Amino acid sequence: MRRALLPVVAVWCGCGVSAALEPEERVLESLRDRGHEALALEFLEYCERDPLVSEAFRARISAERLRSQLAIAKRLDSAEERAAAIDRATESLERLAQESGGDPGALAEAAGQLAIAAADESRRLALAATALPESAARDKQLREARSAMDAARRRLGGAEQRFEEAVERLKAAPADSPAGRERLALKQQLAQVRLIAARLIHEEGLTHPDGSQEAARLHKQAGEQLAALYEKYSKFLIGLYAHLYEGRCYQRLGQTSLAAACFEDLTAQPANDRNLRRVATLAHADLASLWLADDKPDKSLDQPAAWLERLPASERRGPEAARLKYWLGEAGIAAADALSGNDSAKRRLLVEARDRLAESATLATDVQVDARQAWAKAMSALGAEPAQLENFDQALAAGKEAIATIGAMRLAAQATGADPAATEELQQQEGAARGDAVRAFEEALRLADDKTPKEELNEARYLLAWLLWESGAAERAAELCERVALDGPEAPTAEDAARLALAALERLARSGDNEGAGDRLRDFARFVLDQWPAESDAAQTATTVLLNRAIESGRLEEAEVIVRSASPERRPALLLRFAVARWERAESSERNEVGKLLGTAYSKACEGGGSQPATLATAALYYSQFLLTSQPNLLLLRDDEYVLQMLAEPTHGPLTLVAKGLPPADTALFRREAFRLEAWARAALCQDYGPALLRFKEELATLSNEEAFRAGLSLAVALRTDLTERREWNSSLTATDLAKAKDPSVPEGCLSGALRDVLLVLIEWLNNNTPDVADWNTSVWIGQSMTKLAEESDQQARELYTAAGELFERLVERAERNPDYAPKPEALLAARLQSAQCALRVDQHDRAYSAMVELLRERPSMLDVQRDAALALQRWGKSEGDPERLEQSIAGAVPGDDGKHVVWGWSKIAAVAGGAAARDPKYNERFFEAWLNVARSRYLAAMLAQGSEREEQLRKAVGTIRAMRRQYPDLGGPESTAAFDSLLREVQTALGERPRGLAAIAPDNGTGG
Amino acid sequence: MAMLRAFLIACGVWGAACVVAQGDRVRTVDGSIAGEVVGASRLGVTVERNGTTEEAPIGLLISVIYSDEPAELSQARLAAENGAFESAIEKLDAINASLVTDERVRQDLVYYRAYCDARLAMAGKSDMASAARALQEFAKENPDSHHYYAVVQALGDLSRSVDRTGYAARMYRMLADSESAAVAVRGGVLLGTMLQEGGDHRGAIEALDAALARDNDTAAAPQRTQARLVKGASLAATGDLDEGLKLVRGVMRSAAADDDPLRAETYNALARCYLAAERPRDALFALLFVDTLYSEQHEQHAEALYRLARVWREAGEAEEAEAARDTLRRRYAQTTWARRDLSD
Repeated sequence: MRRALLPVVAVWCGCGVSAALEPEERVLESLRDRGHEALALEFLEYCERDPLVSEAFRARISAERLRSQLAIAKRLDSAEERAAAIDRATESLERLAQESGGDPGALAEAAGQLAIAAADESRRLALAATALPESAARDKQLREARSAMDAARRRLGGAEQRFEEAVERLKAAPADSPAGRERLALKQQLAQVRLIAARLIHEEGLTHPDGSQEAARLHKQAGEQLAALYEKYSKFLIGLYAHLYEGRCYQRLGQTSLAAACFEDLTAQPANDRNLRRVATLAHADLASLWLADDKPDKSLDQPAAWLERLPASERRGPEAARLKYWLGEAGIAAADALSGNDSAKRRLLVEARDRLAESATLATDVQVDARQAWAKAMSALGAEPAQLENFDQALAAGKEAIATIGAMRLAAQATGADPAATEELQQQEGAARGDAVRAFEEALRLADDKTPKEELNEARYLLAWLLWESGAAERAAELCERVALDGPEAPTAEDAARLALAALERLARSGDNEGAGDRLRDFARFVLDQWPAESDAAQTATTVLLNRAIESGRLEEAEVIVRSASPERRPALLLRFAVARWERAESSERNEVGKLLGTAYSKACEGGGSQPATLATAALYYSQFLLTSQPNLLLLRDDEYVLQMLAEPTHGPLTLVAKGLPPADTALFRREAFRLEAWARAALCQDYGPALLRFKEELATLSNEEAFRAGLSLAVALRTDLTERREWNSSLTATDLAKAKDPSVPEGCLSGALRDVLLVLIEWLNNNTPDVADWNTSVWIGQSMTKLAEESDQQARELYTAAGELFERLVERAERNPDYAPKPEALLAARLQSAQCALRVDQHDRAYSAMVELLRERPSMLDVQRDAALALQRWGKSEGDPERLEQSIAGAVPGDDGKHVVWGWSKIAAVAGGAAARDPKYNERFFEAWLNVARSRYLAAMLAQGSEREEQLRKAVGTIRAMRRQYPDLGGPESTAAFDSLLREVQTALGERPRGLAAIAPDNGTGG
Repeated sequence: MAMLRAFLIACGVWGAACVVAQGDRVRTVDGSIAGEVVGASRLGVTVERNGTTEEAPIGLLISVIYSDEPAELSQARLAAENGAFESAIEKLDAINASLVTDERVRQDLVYYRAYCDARLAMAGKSDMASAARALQEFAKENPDSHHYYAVVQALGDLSRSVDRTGYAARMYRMLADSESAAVAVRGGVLLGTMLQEGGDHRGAIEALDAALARDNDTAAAPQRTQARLVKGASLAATGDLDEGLKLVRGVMRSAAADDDPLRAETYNALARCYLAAERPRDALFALLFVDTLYSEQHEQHAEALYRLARVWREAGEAEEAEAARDTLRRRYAQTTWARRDLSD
């Protein structure tokens, strides 16, 4: 009897898969697979109207409609309605077959579905009848069930015939053709119909008393048919199921060896597929039951238990595993009974059995009732505490009474006010009542049996969980409440229990002590969402818990799904939380996308309500950050007005909450950021930003020097970046852009003023308090920002250059004291130069010149420094009326070791720049500037001289300009030409000539007019 | 013969093209043309081969591969065509532009960087402002490039992605005014689609009719089909569902059985017609065709999922709606449909 199985078994379950050839059929099947039979009917109507539908599918529409009607009928609650619907569908089928013939395959499928539905109905009848106590009514119902089974078998036979005919019609079709695929699908359904017909015989046998002649006859008949099916389909899953039921038939016939052989065939096969493991699990369950019946419980607990442990976790919770657990539980009790005297081994067996039975009893399977009874038996065998309470009702009542006592004690404690002794006594009494309540409910659970009303049992569980939760026993509280909630939302205490379970699981997950609590929390929350309507408190708590969990764990994708699945009412608030969390974690490359999300979430939350002011305020703060940091351009124009409105929004605006001292504005960081953004937005709009800046500065006072400096620096960086971006954008605009009706340029507002104010604060800080808080690069950045602002400023240039110069000077001093301070020698050199340049700009010629000479001694060929040194000499000479310095500005100064001048002067600068310009045009500007200054120094020297010397200098100046004009008619471009022209006019005036400028010098011959 | 052999060896490898310039390759929808690209304009490129010239009009042009371009540019171009913009940028980064002497190749480097940056910016992965500036600069500097219209379209798309529809409309109208019928119809379709999405169905019909009235150039045929598909929904929205369906079904009937992209697009267009006519159940069925049969057509599938999520929700099927959203988010996170779904 034991037949070898092929190593590879195809998963071919014959579950109504049709060879979906036409596009419409595939859509239809997709709807059916997802359980949308009513929609499938509507789809068929749509197809009837749609001119694009193929004729082939059109021919199948009637049969397909029948299938859908049947599927809908099968879901009806009332047995009578189901039977009537099946009868109606059968009549329609017969009519259809007679009228048009229809598509044979589709008709066969419909007939098969009808017959299977009838078989299911007859099974239900039989199960209901066998559950009744022995009585005439039971016998009557059993007869009716058998009659229904016979009728169903006849229908299955009819369907089988239709399938055979349909298959026969297609027998010539190649396997890979559409017709070939349809044939395969029909064959699968044919196999399924045959299996069900054979099983039905076995199940009819079960309606007769065990050992009766009729039962034996039917089991034998079924066994033979199932064996034949296994022979035919042994390579397919359907064949394996046939073998399983075949084994059950042998078991009923008392043919233990044959039955075991069937089951062991199935347990021995490779089980690398979920479907194959399901059959194997059932076979293990049947083996366990077989050995138990044979009084070998240890054998039952051997291989089947090992198999259960090896199953993947998800499958251990499935219905097949529930069946196996039941038989293992029964075997465990039997094995424990067989032990004498070994208390610990016995107890271990019973505990294991109890747990398996408890798990089995939670699933609706054909062994659920038996599992519950066996569980009670295991509990009883475990020998609980001696019961002071005799039954469940007493225990529940005692527990409730104790809870009432707890409430009374609490009220009394409130009334005692400040009397510590009385309060302590009451608290002790409350503690005692709590202990009584816990004991009573524990006892109630122990005393409960299958007759205990579920609602009351769940109430006891929930109340016990509540007490345990209050005393910190989150694990047990969660377990109890999960069980209550698993009974579904209809149970009176279920929703409260679900919420308590969520809270307890969240506590466990957060504590980090309980491995797997996070997953358990997630699974349970999903269960709650699945069971309770979205608007219920339980579902809302579950959503919040899931979202918190996902965000805290950084699983933002999961959080996003939760937000989307939330009810429309809750969604805005959750989306806002999600967006805030994303912003807090966003990489810089994601900020654009997340910022937009934040904006959407914020406006929806404002419209939709349901959000906490604290969350709204945080979102407003972040969204303001985003809006202020988005770059100005044609596409994304800044809305600084909106930022200010948002910051000052009267109910939740960050500035409003700051004024009220409400969270989250009770933290310095929040306040500081709110003021920073306010000052920034006001500066951008050229509004009075002073008060905001002052408040920002006041907030800095609470910080350490370093933190305060960094915070101030962040505002400076923001302002400068904003300013730079606006300028870059404006300078990139073409004349065409600017000529448009709406000028796309972005105003600078008062950003430079605000930047100046912040920088001055920072420099003051560096100068007076905390020179160590800024590193080299930061200090240089501040100094350069100041000089840049000074270049643009008329009124405050001197102040800014002075401050920047002092900063650079201190940097240099510090670097000279500490060689490691500057990052590299060139950086120190640059700082020295910048210090000297600042000095030059504020007419500290002596200081500027000395610094430049020192630089040039080290690096004489730095053209820009040579230029600044010559400029310093020229200005120095002019301001002090010193013709020697003016001359030096032209001819150079400070002899070096090689006898050459360290400071070149304008003449040599012109020569060097001229040479360099031949290779690189960028030196042109320096070249013309140098010659211009040669002429200017001559002019300035002339203005200090008298008589012939004066005239000689003036003539030399004219000569220089004339020579340049002759040799370079364009004089290096319009700006340079204008400078030459202006200087020449001054010279001409000084000579007493008409100031005609360059017009007096003809470029072609240089003779002038 | 020996002389010829010596000549070939001197030129390079046996069998290789001797004249380097003839190694340029122009890929068109009809195949490819090998030769030297001797001219380019907004309207296409001119290829010279063996003394004769051939035009590749812009409507048929897919890409131009230059014989002396770095391998990384070829890879970047391919990546960009396949939507792998980050990978394209990586390839472009690997090129030492200072070693590139061919001005045409230099222009391509600039173009592909700007184009990829723009597409990434639309996905929120690159800076919007600098992307827009780079495109504008390219268009300004290279008004005669065969990339010119692609740049204009990218500028329009970029603007549209941040709801700057006025500027986008200007860009699309520039396309619609092109001498090339293919470009013009594309411009009309883009404009019509944008107007339709903004609820301006009459404006959309007007733009699409103008596009369909352009000369019936072969190169414009796919765009004309698009125009019909888009117009269908606007007709339905303005009360003429039958005419809209007729237009779309006409496209379906003429589509080849294995033309999955077009069939998917047509089912989506049918769904849009039904939605516009407030027949969500029929729209659901049309969308299910795309979901069930054409899930490999990513852009179309993403659109179908986006709409399915809404139609399912409206039908009270929250679980289905969530499943559609979930697939949209997992499989097509980078698409405009996923982003739109999140921001709705």
